[in-house]
Amino acid sequence: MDCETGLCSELASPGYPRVTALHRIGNPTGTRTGACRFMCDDGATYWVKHWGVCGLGAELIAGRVGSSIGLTPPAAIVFVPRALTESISELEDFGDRDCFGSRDMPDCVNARDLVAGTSFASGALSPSHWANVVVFQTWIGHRDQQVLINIRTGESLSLDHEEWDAFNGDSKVDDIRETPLPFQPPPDCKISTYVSAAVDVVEGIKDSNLVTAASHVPCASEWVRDSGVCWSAITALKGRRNQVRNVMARW
Amino acid sequence: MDKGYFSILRWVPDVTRDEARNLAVVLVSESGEQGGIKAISSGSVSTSLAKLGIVDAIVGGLAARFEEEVKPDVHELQGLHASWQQSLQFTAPRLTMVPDWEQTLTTLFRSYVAKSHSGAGGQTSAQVQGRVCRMLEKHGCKPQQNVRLGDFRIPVMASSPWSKVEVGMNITSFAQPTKREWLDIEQDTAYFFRAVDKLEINPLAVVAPPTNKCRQEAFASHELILKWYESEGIRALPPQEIGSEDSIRNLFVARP
Repeated sequence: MDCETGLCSELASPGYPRVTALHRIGNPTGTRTGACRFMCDDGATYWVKHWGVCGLGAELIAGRVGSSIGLTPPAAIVFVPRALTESISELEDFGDRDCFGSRDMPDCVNARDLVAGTSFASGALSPSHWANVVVFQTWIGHRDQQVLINIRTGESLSLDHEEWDAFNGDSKVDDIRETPLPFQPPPDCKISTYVSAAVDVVEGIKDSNLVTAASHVPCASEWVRDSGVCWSAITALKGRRNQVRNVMARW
Repeated sequence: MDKGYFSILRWVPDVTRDEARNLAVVLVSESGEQGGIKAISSGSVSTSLAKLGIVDAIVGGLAARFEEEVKPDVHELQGLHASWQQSLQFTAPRLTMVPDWEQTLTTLFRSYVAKSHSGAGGQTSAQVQGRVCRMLEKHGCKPQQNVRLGDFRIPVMASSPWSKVEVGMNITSFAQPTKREWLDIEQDTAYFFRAVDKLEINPLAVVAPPTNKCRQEAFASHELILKWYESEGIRALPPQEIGSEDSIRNLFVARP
């Protein structure tokens, strides 16, 4: 990938936008990452994490890229004041730190939480949105794929991007990433029209959009080591972008 | 006396505001020998929630677990409470005495779920729509709710398993004792007329009449709506006339 001066300087420029948590909503999830909801000063509520398998930078970049094309919840850097976490042992590691936030989406459920045997009526789950999520997760090389389903509209979003192949610099798309589900996905989602449209969206993402998503990421141990990591992720994403169509043709 | 644990399944449209609507109650024994779930139709909570039937399918999946030999136990219920933390949530399991499993489940359902929707009695349009759709589905008519056709949204589209006729339905209820204003139903009816005119669908109306607990305005508006349907040449049936297979067959008549 050519390193245009303008793009490189944006990637390396310091500072980053962030929101501040105002108060906690509910308890930590009790999962590995111990995510917890906080209402923030931008008026939105975020699921906030303080660490990730590949670092919070992976979550942030995937969330920014995905939300720019409407396929993931919006992502943010969330500062959590210590006063909000002092009395709760599970939240000790959140206090006075910049954490990762994924916006809480109304009317959504995590598909993996549904019990086996759940059976949706034909047309309940949007096949085009499902195809979009599969294509997105295949493009980035998502591991531990999860999907949010909107219970009102049947639309879906990709979720939880702790670990993905492109972030580790892997620029080869070798397989299709489908979220393991306790129920049947929409049968029509593999129709070529939907898949092709989904690939069009991914192929339409400009290099400058990728750079914007990977810029202004905190350089700290729990985020990214340095901007070189972000550059490597962008390079891999660009390389994978050209392979997705051929790989998805096998679906 | 047995002991059990119960949780309430709630729909929380906005977790920040935490304004929940109770959808179902689940009752389990400690180790899964007994238990059950009782739920209301999502249509009686919100028409938009019922539109695609996703919530009802999710509840159906839970109900299927109770058909199995080993039913969910308190640990599984605790797990659901821990993991379902988005728009559908389970409250933390609470201990309850269980003199009789079915009776206790019904009591809990009436206390926590059914009660918040019964009000002064009566049925909303969404509730009537839900019942009509279940009746149609029972007879293989494949109803679809809130269908977008062209520029319009039709409350229910249903197809006949006996012929090729498809019908677009407008379903309203005047059986709402606490409702004072009926302009919204009159406007929805006018919208339906416009849709029928533009889309050239086979129309049908289901109109639940007011009960003797309803206000005078309900009776006046009901009479007006029926006159409108008559002048438009659209059949308007009360929901109690839709039940038997014959009555449902008769719904699917192509407009001349």
